[in-house]
Amino acid sequence: MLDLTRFETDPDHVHDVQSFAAGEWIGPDAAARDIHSAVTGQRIARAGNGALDTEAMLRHARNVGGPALRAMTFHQRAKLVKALALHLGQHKDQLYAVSFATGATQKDHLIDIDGGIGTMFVFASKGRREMPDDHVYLDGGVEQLSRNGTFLGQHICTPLQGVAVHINAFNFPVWGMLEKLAPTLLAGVPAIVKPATASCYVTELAVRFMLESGLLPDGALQLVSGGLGDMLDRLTVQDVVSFTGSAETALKLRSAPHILANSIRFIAEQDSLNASILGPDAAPGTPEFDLFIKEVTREMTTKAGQKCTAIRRIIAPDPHVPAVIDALQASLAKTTIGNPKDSATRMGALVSASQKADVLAKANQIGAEAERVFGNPDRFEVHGASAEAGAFLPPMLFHCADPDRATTVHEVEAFGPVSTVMPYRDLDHAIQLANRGHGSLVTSVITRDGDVARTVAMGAGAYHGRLYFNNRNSMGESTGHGSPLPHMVHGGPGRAGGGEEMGGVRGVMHYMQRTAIQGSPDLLTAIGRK
Amino acid sequence: MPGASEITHADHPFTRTFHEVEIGETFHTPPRQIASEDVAHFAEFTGDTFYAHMDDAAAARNPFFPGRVAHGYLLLSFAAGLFVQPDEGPVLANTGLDALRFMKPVVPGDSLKVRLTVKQKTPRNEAYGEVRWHVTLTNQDDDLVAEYELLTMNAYSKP
Repeated sequence: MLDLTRFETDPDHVHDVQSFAAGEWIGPDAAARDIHSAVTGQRIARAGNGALDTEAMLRHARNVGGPALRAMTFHQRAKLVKALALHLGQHKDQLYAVSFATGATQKDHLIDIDGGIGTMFVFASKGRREMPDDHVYLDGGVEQLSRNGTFLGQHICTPLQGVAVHINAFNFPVWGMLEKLAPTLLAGVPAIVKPATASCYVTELAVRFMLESGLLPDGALQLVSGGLGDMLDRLTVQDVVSFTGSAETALKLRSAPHILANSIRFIAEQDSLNASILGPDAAPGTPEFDLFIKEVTREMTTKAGQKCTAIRRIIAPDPHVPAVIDALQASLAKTTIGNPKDSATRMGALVSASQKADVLAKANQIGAEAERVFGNPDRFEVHGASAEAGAFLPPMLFHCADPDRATTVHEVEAFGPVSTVMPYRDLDHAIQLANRGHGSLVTSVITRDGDVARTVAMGAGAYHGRLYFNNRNSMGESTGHGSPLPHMVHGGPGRAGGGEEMGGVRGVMHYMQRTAIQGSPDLLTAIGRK
Repeated sequence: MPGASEITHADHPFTRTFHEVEIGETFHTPPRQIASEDVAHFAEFTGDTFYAHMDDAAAARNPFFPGRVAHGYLLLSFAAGLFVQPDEGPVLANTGLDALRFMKPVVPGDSLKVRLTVKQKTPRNEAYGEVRWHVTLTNQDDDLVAEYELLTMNAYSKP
């Protein structure tokens, strides 16, 4: 168990992050990798075990966890998800306490930890309201296949009989796990969770709380801290890989011959070059203009810009670009960077020195096509921490005057507090630019004009998993450009991975098989109990 | 499931608890004839004096109606009057109505009967759950007049 009295504070203490494999907690071995604090750079933990018996883990999930979950109804599993969420809620403070070492502020923790728990509550509620207290889910209505109605059709969904392997990104060690785990458990499928190593000590603690609650059947939840070894080569047609992370890693994993040869489901959610469009009607001086500046600033600085939905491209009407840059400069200048434990801090550190180096390298590439108009990575103030030891960066705003000829600004993602302002001539041009992300998780449009909204939906919908419209009428209750919601699909085509997570019951279906059932009314009633 | 075998019980389904009623359990009502006065009374009482219920010639000019017809809402009300079991019992409330369709007009002189079938049961809490009933209204020739899904909350125990 993570020793909170020594973690991060005692320089001689290195926390051994464990895996939970086939019912046993297993510590790191010689293959382990060191994990450093994002804030101090000190070694705080290590994770990884080269001798993990991946076959035993898969067997445990398939033979013990799966049958136990499938014996429960959707409603029973929904109650389980709700009980887990309530239990995690009782241990939030400890999760907050360990999360600061990832560079995240208390406000960031609310997104990760409270956001993750909230997602479980929504899935629990959807499971109870929209799914039957039964084992078979009916998809759609009855199809009349015969003149006299003695032979009918009905689609049904039943749980996959394998295991879901969840590969998560470093930026949301709790939400990233729970947004996949809730629909998986609701479907009746056991999960093996593999968090990114850089922040896996937070996930480990959350997994411990869930396992110690005694709520979960044996084998329903296992954890790999460190590398997955050869696990993906041992999957079958009844297994699912659900991946969040970079486009490069997704391509490498999903194109493995074993995955392709067996048509193993691979759901990918990749970070993308998301955009925000300032509507033609949202001129400086309107509430929409101020809202746009606020949303962009928030997306650039929350989690130090390490969000797969963060705004990377700021698309504004040509005449308003100077005003947008001025307003963003003023707004970003208020970003107090420093120790995330300090309540005055608005932006903490990136997760690691290597992420910082990667962001700087990508920002340099963007700098070849765009001029940096805010933020100097060599000269910025860090409060309550060392700028050299920690993985700190200032928000960096670029201006690309010719976005039609530019390529890097549409293709290279600096996964940090980096964004580029670019001008558009007319709405069709704005849509063209947004679509040059070649498939994105989200684009936001700040407008009050219904025709603008409709034109963007028609022109950019096919390139986006989500379109977020906001204006003075909705801003008081709007949920934010960057927040995926459990009710709505999260994913996007092309560059964004081609996946679609959550979206209520839709997200549960990734872990179930849809089957067309044809037969007599009596047999269909017996199968569907409806 | 339409066309599946019907399950019948001696007791009215409204006297049976959430757990006692079963999927496929079906209740048939006796017929009730619709009189011209019924339509006039309903129009006057509710204020729904749409011409199709009032004026025989005007209704006949409408491509849907042979002449003056009964209100769809009158049919629903008569249907409830036909299938309801009035005593205090496990049925707590009528909570909704889904997928309502009127298939064939009903004219004065027609008679109406109702078939009520348990379609789905969804527990809601520790005390009661939702029962989804498939309801069909047919006329004297067994033609389908209307169809809908009725939702009720049914207690796990009798009062």
